[in-house]
Amino acid sequence: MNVIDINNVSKVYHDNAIPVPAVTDVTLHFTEGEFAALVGPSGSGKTTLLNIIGGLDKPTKGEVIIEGQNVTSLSDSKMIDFRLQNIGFVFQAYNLIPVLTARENVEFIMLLQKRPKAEREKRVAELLKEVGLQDKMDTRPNEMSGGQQQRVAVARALASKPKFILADEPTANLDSKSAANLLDIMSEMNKNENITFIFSTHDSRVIERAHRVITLTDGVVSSDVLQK
Amino acid sequence: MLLKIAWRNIWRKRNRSLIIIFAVTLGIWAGLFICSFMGGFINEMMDESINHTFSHIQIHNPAFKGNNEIQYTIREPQKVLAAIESNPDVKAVTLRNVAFGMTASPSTASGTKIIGINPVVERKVTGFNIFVKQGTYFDGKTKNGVLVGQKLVDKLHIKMHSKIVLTFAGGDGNIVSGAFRVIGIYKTSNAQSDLATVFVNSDDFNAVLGNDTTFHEIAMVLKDADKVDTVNAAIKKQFPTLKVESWKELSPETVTLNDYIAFILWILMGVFMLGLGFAIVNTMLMAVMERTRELGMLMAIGLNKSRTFGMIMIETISLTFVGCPFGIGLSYLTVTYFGKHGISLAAFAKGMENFGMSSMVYPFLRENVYWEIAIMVFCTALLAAVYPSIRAIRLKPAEAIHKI
Ligand SMILES: Nc1ncnc2c1ncn2[C@@H]1O[C@H](COP(=O)(O)OP(=O)(O)OP(=O)(O)O)[C@@H](O)[C@H]1O
Ligand SMILES: [Mg+2]
Repeated sequence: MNVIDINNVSKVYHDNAIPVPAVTDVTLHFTEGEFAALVGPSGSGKTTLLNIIGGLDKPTKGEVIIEGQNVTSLSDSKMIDFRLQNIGFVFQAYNLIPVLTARENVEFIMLLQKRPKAEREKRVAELLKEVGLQDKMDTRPNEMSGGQQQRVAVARALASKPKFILADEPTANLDSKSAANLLDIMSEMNKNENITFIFSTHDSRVIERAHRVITLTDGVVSSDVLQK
Repeated sequence: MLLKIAWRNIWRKRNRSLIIIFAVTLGIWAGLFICSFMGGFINEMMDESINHTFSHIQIHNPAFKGNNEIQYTIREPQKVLAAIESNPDVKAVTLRNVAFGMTASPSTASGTKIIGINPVVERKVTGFNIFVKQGTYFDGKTKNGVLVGQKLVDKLHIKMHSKIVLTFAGGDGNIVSGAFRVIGIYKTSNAQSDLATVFVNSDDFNAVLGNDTTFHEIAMVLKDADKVDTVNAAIKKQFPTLKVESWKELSPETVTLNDYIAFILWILMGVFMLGLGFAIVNTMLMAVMERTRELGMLMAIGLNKSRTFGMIMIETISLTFVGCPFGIGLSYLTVTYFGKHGISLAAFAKGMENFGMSSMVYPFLRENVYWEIAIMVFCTALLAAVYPSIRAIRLKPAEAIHKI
């Protein structure tokens, strides 16, 4: 079974009553363990598509099916709970709760899932170690570099044991070294935990690392290729 | 964890939070101080006009009040007295004579109320002796002594030891009169009644009347002034043929004034709470706006609406409650200090005395008021938190995250 099925999804925004088609008739399927990049110029609809997959936005037409469940029809509140249990997110920035330490940020999502304390503590330590931040556990985001913050975000996204992780330009604010490091960690996680990653990017060095590259042009999938 | 986040968020914008904490402190302090000031004011007023003059409950012949005629006495006064003395709620009770007549000095005369008291018992009931400023309270030695108010002394051009003549209508319609000597000059804070009331020994009063058993008034004070209504009702039932009235019935204007002050206090509190509420709403709205992206992110990763709502509520309420102890502590100190040392209203005293009030106010608060205000602030915070919390859950995560 596919992890994600996107069937004929279109999204039209209305900017001052003028219809702006952001995504048009997109059909895509993702299987478990994919490491896919969503690429395309600015305004091509990457963010819109990721938001629709993650249920942060509703498509104007079409449907998104996650492990057989049509999530397009879920109410906003149901969708929040669905995201909590099934989807990990990494955004371009402002991923973390500023008043919580790295450890607390990662633990927070597991607390929302009501996981037992012992499990939480064990997994937090494990994940922060995997992203190389074992010595930053009790540091707050504002005392960490952008790269370190993004690594905490990846750890947080994994902590909830989601079915897949969506990352909208996770490296956009990072220098190339930090970006490469973050990609290393992501692909590591992808390999070790067999977790599906879908990320959008502009960066050609990031694109190189993806196993599958989906190109959007003016909201339409213009190419979808496997590499390596 | 939500509590932890809320708590830490409070200290994120320290200055802004401090302003709210300060506003809460000030609001509580101002509210409590005004309450205590008014409380002291009422106490003062009650003390002077009720405890020291009216007493808590008075009993008369039902016909007495209307005509104030000397023949409307209380039948079998000693029996009534004994019954009331045995009431466990009554602290002290006394018999009085009351007549309306004339007080005359060699040069002039003035219409006055003449009250005959039992000096020993009266001391326990109203403690009227404390108002005697010159000379002495009845000492039992001087026969036909009279206590005259300072105002009346001025009006009649008399002084200590002056001889004056009290004249009033006797029981049979005849005019009776007696010569009395000023043994003391008293001054209460009620100038009006000082001018129009003289006090004599009840025995002397009855001697002038040629009768030693008439009494017109029974006055009592209770151990607990707050029980006045229930005790009043009980005594009314006990003596259906007599007119039993509490100070509330005797002095409805005092009740009205009390109610009025309470009403003003409520309005003032309302205004304070409204101000506080707006300050809280404003601050928290700002906090929500500033954190739009963070809140969007939280809702995106799975913080549901009730938790988001709860988080902002908790933050608002804890913010308010940090100020609470400061406000209450500060109020406690202020009220205790001024409660001991009093606040002088000397500047307004002239006008106040005409209303039967003294010029010092000793702020006073019932302990409950501290809790009441804490609850009021809590409710205000709760209400004020609702709107910012609603704004928070109305955010659309997709838009919130990408907001610049
Ligand atoms: N909330 C919105 N209201 C109106 N139009 C929108 C909205 N969000 C996106 N759009 C429009 O939809 C189109 C696709 O935008 P989207 O943000 O998905 O592109 P993108 O590929 O993520 O671009 P970028 O690389 O700049 O992030 C754009 O033309 C954009 O102006
Ligand atoms: Mg984008």
